[in-house]
Amino acid sequence: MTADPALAVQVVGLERSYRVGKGVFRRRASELQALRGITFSIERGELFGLLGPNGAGKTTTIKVLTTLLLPSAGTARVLGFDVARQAREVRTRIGYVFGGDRGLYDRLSALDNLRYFADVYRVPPRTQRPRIDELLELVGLKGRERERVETYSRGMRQRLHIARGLLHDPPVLFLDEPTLGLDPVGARELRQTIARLQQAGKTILLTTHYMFEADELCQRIAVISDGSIVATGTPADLKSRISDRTVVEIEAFGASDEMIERLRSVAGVASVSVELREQAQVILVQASRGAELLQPLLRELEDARIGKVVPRPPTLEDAYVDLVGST
Amino acid sequence: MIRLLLSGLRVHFLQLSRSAVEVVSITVWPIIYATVAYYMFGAESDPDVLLTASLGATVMAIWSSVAFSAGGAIEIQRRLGTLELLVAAPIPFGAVLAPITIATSAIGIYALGATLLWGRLLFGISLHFEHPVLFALSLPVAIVAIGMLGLILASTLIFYRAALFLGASFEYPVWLVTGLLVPLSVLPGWVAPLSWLLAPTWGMRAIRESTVGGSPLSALAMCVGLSACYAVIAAVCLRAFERLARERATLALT
Amino acid sequence: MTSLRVFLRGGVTSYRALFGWLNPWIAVPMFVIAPLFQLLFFAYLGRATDVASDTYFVVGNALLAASLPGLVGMGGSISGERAAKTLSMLLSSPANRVALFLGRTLPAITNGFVVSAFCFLTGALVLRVHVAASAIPRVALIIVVCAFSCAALGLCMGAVGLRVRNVISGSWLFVAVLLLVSGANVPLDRLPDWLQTIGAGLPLNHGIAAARDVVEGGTLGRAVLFELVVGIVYTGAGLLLLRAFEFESRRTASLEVM
Repeated sequence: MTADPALAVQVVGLERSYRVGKGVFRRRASELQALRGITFSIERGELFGLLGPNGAGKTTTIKVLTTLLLPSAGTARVLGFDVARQAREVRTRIGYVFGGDRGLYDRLSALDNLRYFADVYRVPPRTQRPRIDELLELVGLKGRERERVETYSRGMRQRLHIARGLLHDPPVLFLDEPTLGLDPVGARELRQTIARLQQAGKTILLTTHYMFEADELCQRIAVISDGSIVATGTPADLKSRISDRTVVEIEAFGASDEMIERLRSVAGVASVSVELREQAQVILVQASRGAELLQPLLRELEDARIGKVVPRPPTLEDAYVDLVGST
Repeated sequence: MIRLLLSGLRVHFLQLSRSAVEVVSITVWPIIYATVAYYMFGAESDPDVLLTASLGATVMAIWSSVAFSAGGAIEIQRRLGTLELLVAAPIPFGAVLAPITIATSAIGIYALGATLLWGRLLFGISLHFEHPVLFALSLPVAIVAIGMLGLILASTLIFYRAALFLGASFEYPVWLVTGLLVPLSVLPGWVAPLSWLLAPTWGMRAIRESTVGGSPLSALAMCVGLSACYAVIAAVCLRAFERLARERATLALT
Repeated sequence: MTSLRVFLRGGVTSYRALFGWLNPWIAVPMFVIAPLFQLLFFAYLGRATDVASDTYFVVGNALLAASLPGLVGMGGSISGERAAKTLSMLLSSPANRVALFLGRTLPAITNGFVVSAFCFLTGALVLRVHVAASAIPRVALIIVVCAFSCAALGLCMGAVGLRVRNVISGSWLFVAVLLLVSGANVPLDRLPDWLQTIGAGLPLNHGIAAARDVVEGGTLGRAVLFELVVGIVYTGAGLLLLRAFEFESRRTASLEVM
């Protein structure tokens, strides 16, 4: 497979399995297949989203691309360099940011952290100061850089993380669930920063399990589920997969499994999924548009108590549920 | 590269210094050992002997810090969440780890300050150095050499996660074998060759001879030579560690 | 009879409480390997400084080793109970509190005893220090009393730990201080008065002196009783502290204390 120079990231048939051992003395090994041969590519300057439920393989993909894990099979290239054999070249050109509290020396100031990582990432000494200033400005931490990280809120830490990932001005950024655990305002600001970075020409791979985030930010999305990619395309593409559908959201109390099964057999119904929220069940029924649904559906749920019934057009989330639920 | 080593040393030294537990344990224990030694040697002893005992207690504290914290250096980085970031950096992992283990050795200067001050205040041990310049050189050289021995600990113990606390069992044996407080002359003959392989032996000798008289130069040379050997051994282990971490993901980086 | 059952059963079940928080990979190096080498260290230092015979140091350090699980383990076991939310239950149970908490010192005492025995064995094998067979039962008794008094001090530390964070380092501070003032390595007459006074108020002083007497061929003197008294005083203090904190936590509704 030859490297395509126009592509920032090129993944072909990537597989990764783990040997999982049980027990301390007699290790019974079993293979856990985290990635089952995924293929996708990212163009230069694109903001690409990797969407999937927890455990689908998003983080494993990122770890392979950031050279922290070797592929079990298949190839992955970043800017033309093979992640397995040319790790050093890859590491010089990528930034890796993950969500959460960890990844910083909390007894030190933000400035100390940035200076240290600048050295670790081989930023030339002369460029360090201006670059650090610029980045602090970009992530909105200017003025607080001399405070110890342990005093920072989660949102501030996350922003410092991003600054850290950009120290060596990498053309490609890998963001692993960066808004995880952030409050809505913090998350929104972070998303704005990410959008700005893409506009400045960076290639970004973003993993997330928040649908609206992927919809808002990403130019293209790959949906990954259980180690395989089940769909790739723009958010509009994915939504159009079920654009011929309508969704009915039914709030129910005490609907039994049999009743829900029966819903599936109603004419025109494509899929039924149930979400449990507090006391109620929210049943999402996807069906072809134009089908006369409400009466037959409600008939099947006669014996249960019904709350709200909301017919609505499908969202990206529904497309996602359809894709992920069907595997 | 030098810049990175110094920058790393500073960062990790500060990270350790700002932990009350670390600072307290590296000042209290050497004071206790120095005091025990003082009373065992006897107050009427040669003041040089008592000064050497204080310095011995300092190096003992340095070794404890290294045995515990350097041995667990990788584990500590993993808990902080910084291990991945350091492995994913475009420089050799050893160059990142060495400043960490040397920092665990370098906080020994708190021990030095504490024991010398204590000795001066309580026992009137006067501080005078036969070769002050060489002493000023011996201390950092010894610190680096012991830190490099810590690098080997860091790169080998990581393969046996549960064994990290074996660092606790390395304390007294190494103190004994390297003659930090107990002179090697009272130990069985077969201990001597073992001691020559360990940095604290030569570090202590350099420090002692620049304090009370003698020629520390050969000891300094041994420190430097051993540091180089340790670096090579550690490099081999770290390459294996990184390969295993990437291949099997069993040495989880998070 | 119930008290006895509480004493024994509580002790055995809380063995895990003692070592639940401390896994064997830590406990063995810390409580077994380290004391053995500590013994050798000080014996050789003793030879170099011509302070006393090997026997002196074997006895001293073996008893220091007996103290370790008590001093360090009790603090952990109490925090462990608090973490498992069983502490307040225990304190509010009608079971005789003394029996209850004394029972919890049992694992520490047993452990201390075992480690001490290892130390004497090492002394015999490496340093050729032999304890006369006739003296062994009396030495064993002294070890138990010393382990008990240190566990009692540990109990106090554990109680204090309910209010003060990071009490484990405090326990180690006592380990460090005892190294100096217990008479294990430094003959007490060499210490200045103020250190001797501190030592007299702490466990092990009397016990070590008693043990040395017995090993040299003497009889079981009053010293061992003094050691026992020290232990009882600390037990009482520890239980009072626990009671006080429990009362306070009920009064101020500071539930997290218990």
